[in-house]
Amino acid sequence: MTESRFTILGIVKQSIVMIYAVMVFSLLTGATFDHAINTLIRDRPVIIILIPAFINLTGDLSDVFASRLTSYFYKGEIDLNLRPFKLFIMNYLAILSVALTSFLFAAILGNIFSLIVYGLIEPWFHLILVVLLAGMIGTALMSALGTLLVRLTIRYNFDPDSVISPITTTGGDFIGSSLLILFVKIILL
Amino acid sequence: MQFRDGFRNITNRIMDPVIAFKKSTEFKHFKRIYWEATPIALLTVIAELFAGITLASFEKYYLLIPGILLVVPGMMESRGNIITSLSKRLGTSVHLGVVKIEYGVNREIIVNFLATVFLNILAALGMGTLGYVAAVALGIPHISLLGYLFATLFMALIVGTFLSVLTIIVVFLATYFNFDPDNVTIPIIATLGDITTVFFIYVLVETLLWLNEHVPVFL
Repeated sequence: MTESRFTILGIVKQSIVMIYAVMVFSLLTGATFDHAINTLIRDRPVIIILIPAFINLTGDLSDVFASRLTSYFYKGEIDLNLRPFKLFIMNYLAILSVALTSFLFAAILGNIFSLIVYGLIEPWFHLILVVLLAGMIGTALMSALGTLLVRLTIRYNFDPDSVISPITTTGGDFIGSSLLILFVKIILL
Repeated sequence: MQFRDGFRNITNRIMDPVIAFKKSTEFKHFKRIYWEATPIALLTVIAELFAGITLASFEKYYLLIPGILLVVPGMMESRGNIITSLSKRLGTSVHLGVVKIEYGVNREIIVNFLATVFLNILAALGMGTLGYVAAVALGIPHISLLGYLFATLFMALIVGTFLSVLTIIVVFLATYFNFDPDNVTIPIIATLGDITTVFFIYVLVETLLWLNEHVPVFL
């Protein structure tokens, strides 16, 4: 059997501190979620329907971006100063393009699902605006944070694969759901 | 003739960089990421919307098990925090040639799997305790500490272990079908993870209500 780069204790030690640290954000997301469902959006099912997609897309897309950057660093295709910059920018733009397509799709399909299941619908233009604004800002912010974290973890000899995911996914959940509720409040309510 | 040559010069000046850009390695990276990640992200959206409909229909449970919503994102995130890290480590291992289909389930995979199970249990204990403390501190109606710990450990052991095994299978399948695991594993696991999590939240609340009828210490 081949040797492993990892040990069980090594992975647990590198990951657990970060997992506990981001739990606070998880609970904040939970409290936002609890408050929003019980007050603001109880009679707006399309927003509740969209919340899981939001909670995950923002975090997952920035995570895919961070994951690709890590692989580029390990393979020596991008250095710690993000050079060649063109390759970095193309990856960033690709993730934002995936986000644009996905959030647009989520807004349209979410409204259709809400109409089918609850017979309720939000104004198309306003809903798409809310979803795109919250989704794109969230993904851009979290991907930028992912870049910073990849550089920091590699510079300080942490394993980026173990440390970054908890921050981007939990941060993405909190940022994504908070931005969604913020833009719902500003544009829809 | 002169006009035609001039026009061709101008169009060449505009089009040459565009053609060169389209042939560049960077644009190939862009296209590969977009076409590999988008279909899976769209499937994720469909699955998440079903998860959303299920979540919206859980309204009666929020009243029967008050404060459970506080730990729901945390339970869904344990997938993100722990399982996604597993898929990223395995993705990097594939790129480094340490994990290959020919090697089968080697030490690299076993170590990562066991570490993920331990992390799930430790995270569940923390989430259950912190969820209870936060509910008390924020004055949110809540269930007992035992109820929170049961909920988070139940989800960690059942969903966490199931998703860890699934991640290893998806990484192998991605490699077999010549996909970059970095592009496809995370969205696939996220989607399947959320469907599984939402389904098991339903099983969890039914189990909690049933258990509490017999041993009234959970709610």
